[in-house]
Amino acid sequence: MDVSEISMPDVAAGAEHSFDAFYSERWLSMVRLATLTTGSTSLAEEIVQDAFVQLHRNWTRVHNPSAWLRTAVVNHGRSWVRRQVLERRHQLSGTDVAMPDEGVVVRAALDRLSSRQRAAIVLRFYEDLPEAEIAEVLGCRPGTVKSLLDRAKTTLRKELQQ
Amino acid sequence: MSHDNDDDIRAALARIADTVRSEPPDIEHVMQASKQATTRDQQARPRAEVMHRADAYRRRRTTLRLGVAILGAFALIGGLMAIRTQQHTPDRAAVEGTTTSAGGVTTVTGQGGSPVSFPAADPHAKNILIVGANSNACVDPNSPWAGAAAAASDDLGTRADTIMVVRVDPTRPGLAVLSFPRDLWVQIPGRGKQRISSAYVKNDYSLLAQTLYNNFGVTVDHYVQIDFCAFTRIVNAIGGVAVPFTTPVRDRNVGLIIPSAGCHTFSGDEALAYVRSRHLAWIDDTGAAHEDRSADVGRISRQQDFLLRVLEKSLKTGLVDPPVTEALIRSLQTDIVTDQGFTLQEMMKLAGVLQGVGPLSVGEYQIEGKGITVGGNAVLAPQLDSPNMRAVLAIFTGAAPVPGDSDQTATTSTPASGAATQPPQPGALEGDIIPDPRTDC
Repeated sequence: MDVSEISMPDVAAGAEHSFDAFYSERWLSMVRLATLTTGSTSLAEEIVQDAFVQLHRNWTRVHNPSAWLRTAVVNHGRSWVRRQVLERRHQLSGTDVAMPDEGVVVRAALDRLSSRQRAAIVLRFYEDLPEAEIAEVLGCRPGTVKSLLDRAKTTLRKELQQ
Repeated sequence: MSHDNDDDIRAALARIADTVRSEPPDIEHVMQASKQATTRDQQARPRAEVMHRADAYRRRRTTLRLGVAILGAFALIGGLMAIRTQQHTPDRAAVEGTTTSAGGVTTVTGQGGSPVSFPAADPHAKNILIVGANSNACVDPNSPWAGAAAAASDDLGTRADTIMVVRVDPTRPGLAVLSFPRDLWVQIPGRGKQRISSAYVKNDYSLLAQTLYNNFGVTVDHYVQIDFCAFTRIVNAIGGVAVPFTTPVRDRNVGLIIPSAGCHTFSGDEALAYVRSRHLAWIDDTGAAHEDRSADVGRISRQQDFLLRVLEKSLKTGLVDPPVTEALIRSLQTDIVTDQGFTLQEMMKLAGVLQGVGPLSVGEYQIEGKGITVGGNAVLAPQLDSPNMRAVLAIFTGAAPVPGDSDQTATTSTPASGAATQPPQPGALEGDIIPDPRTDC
C-alpha cells in the first residue's frame, strides 16, 4: 500500500487504526533516514519518535503523512546535528553505533558535509525525491537544492576515493 | 568510479542504511506523549490579540523579568563554561556553514551575507539584543521545522514574543533594559510599516537589528535568542526547583497537582505548566478547591517568584556540582543561539556585572506607544518625543551613561499608561496563591 494515499479517516477508531499501521510500517525506514542524516541510531530513534508524536497530534489534518513525517524527521535531525557537532567537543565518542568498516568510510565522508548538504544528499539518493520536493522539505528554492547537491557530491566523491 | 550517474552515492548510502536495525517502541508511548502535549498546548494557546491595556503592560513586564532572569542564567552558564574550557581545551575544528563555535556556544551570523550597517557603538558599553521566541511550549505541531511549514502558516511559526535590548557597561555596576512591545508599528527595511515582531527571523538578527537602528537609533552589539524550551531545560539541568506552598494546590486544566502543603520540587515541564497556569486553585481542609481570584496578577507574581528561585538554585548548585555544570552547559548549547562575536570573554564580563547588581536591581524601560488601528490591526505607534523617552534612548544610544545602582532613579521611565505604573507585587491581592519569597526550600 502506498502510505501517501491513506485517505483521511473520520471515525476516531479508524484513525487510530491507520495511524497504528502507518507507525509500524514507517518506523524502520524513518530511523534509517535519520541515522543517515545524524550519524546515530539512538538519536535517530528519538527524533523519529518525537516526529510520530507530533504526527499523531495532527493526524486528521495532515494530508500526506509520509511527506509530513519525512520533513519532520529531516528537519529535526538537522537541528540535532548542529547540537551534536558542538557536543562532540566535550565528549570524545561521536557516534554510538558500531559501523562495519566500509560504513565508517561513508559515514566519515557524510560527516564532512554541512547538515543541509547531507539532508539534500540523503533525500535525493536514499529517499529518491525529486529536487522540487527536496526544496519543499528544506524550505529553500529548487536552484539552491541543485547547488547543494553538486557541491555535496564533489565533496563526497573526493572523500570516498581517498 | 563512474561520475556519469550517481549510483556510487546511492550504493554508499544504502550500505549504511542497511546496517541499521530498529524496532518501534510500543505505540502507547507515542499516544501518551501526544495526549500530554495536547493538554499542555491547550493551556499555552495565546490569548486574543486585543488585550486590556494594563494587562498588556503586565505581560510585557513579565516577559522582561523572564528575559533578565534567563540572561542571568545565561551569563552564569557562560562563566561555568570558562571553567570547563580550561579543563578540556576543546578542539577548534571548523563547523559547517555560517555556524561557528566559540567554546561550545552556538553562534550564528546573518544569513545571505547581508551585513548589518550601522556605526560601531561605544567601545565599552554593549547592547545585547535578546529575543524570546514563543515556540508554544516547545511542542507547536507545525512550526519546529522552519522554512516550508512556517511560511505556509505564519501564525503558527515561532514568534518573537519578547524583544529587548540590554545595555551593559563592564566598567560600571549597572544594567539597563529597554523592551520593545511586539505590537510597535515601525518601518522595516524593504517591507514598509509592520509590527516590530515581524522583523524577527529565526537565527538571523540582521533585519531586526537594522530595524531597531533605523527607528530608534539603538545599535546591536550582540544577539541572544532564547525560547521557552530553554526555561524548562535549565530547570531540569539544575535538578528541579522547590517552591513552598501553604496549602495543597492544583490546576486541572494543566494537570498540575501538588498534593500537600510544604515544599514541592518542580521539574522543567511541570514548572512550565505552573508558571503558565491560569486556573490555579488551593484546596482547603474540607477538600474544596478555591481558584486563584486574581487570575493574571497571581500568575505573574508566581512567575517572578519562580524565576528568582531558578537563579538562586543555578548559582548554588551550578558552581559546585560538576554534573549540574555539565547539564547547564548542554542547555546553553541546545537552547540559546548567540551571534558569532558573543565570546566567552564577553559573557564573563557580563556575568561579572550581573553579580554586581543582582538580577532585579536594573533600570527597566520600554518604548512608549500610542494605541492606533491600522487596517483593522490594533498596533502601537512609537512616541519618542517626550523628555522621558529621549532620556531613555540617550542611554541606549550611548549619549548618556548606563545608570548605576546609586543614580538609577534619575532616569527611571514612567510608562504612558497611568493605570500600569506599578508592577504587580507578590501578595498584592488577597486570595492569590503566591509563595512567600522569604521562605527557602
